[in-house]
Amino acid sequence: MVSPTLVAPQLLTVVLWVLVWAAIFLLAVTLGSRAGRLWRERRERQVLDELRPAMLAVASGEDDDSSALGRLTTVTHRRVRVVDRTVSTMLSKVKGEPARALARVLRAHGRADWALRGLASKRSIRRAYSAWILGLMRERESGSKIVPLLQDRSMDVVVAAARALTLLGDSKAARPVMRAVAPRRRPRGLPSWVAVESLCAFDDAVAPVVAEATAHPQPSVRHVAATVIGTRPLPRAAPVVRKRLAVEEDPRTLAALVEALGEIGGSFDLPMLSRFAQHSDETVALAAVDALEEIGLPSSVDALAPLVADTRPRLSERAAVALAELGPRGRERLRTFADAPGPAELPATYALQLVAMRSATRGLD
Amino acid sequence: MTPAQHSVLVADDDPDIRDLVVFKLEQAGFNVRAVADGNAALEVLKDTTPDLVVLDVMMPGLSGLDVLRQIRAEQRLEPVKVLLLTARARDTDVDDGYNTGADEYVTKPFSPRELLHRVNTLLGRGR
Repeated sequence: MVSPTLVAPQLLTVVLWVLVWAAIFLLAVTLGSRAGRLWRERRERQVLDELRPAMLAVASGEDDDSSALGRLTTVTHRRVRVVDRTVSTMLSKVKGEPARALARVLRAHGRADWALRGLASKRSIRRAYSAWILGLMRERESGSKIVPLLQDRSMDVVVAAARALTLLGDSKAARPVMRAVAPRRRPRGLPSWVAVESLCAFDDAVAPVVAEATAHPQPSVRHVAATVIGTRPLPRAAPVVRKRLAVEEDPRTLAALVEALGEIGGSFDLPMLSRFAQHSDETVALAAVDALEEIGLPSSVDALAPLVADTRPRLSERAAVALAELGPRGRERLRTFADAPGPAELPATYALQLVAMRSATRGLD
Repeated sequence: MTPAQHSVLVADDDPDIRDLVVFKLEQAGFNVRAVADGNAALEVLKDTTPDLVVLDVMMPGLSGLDVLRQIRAEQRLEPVKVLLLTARARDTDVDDGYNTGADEYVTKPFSPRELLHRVNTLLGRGR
């Protein structure tokens, strides 16, 4: 019995040849693109090797006669892209006159106009990169055009815009940055550390905006405001911080406010900080211990001493170390604790040993 | 002592920063050697005693602080000055750097001119 042929042999041969040629074609495309990439990389390396001394001279401020700057600004069309990429990278690593000189290279290549056009691009990567380049080039007048990107649908663009505004340092962007922390139309806001970085980089005109934000309905905004007050620091915001501490319920914000008071407060605040050191939330209590140490007044010793006997181990240890850092009077109090059996004995001994080790490392003893 | 006699070891994994620091210091007349990580820096320090080490903090393998600890633990390297050049700019980072034994702390992005001033001051060179 002869079995029936389902597919003609000629068709099989044709299919086989098609597959063979497709494989050869794909192989050729892969090899071609790889060779092309290697060739481009080699060419870019050649260009970079040739121009590297000029870039280093400009970036290090050693281009006294501006000859290196002239060389970089007049490169031919093909080399512009390679130079701009490297110059942009270097621009993020240096500051001062060398940064201004590197920005002049990009400006001479039309990069500022290119970036301004890119802010309205449909591609989020282009919008983000354009904002970043304008920031790096310190194009201050572009600030108002970057601000709308703080409400962009892409978080990458929002972050790039905030970081570009940080580099520009114009406090006019403070309110939009604060708004971006708790946007109405997006589920996620600007990460608080990016907002804090921006608000700390802006000039002093930022203070009223930050003070106002301590009463914002969103805890994330209040937390950013409290952190900025303590980090910059903003001493004039002390009354606002004291007022807010009386009503704040969010523990994270409360801890940031307490830390801020440690930076900008004084002896007047010691009783309030002592009360927060007894707070049921340990983060708040620890922040209060740090604040008591940060204020660094002789009366801080009396405020910290009872905390060494606290039942929470982390808190008692932190209080003991803070006492040790406050100088001879604090250490004297610790020695008294270390010599008497009780809950304060162990943390006091630990803190004294830690201070002794640190002093030995520093070569002070 | 003439400037050329001062030797500097630069350890940074970022080639741009490394080349930039080397270029700036060489232009100022220092004898500079550069490596890309902490282990390589310690290898160099086995055989030589530079006047100054410029260390990045965040490097693959051994961090700049680890290298600094080892420098400070070895008596032969006691006279070596150490400048930390790092992106870690928080107050606590700076405290950590000085507490570990750094003589100077410069944050990135940095001004090459300021870096040179700090190096000159550390090595007792006039401006």
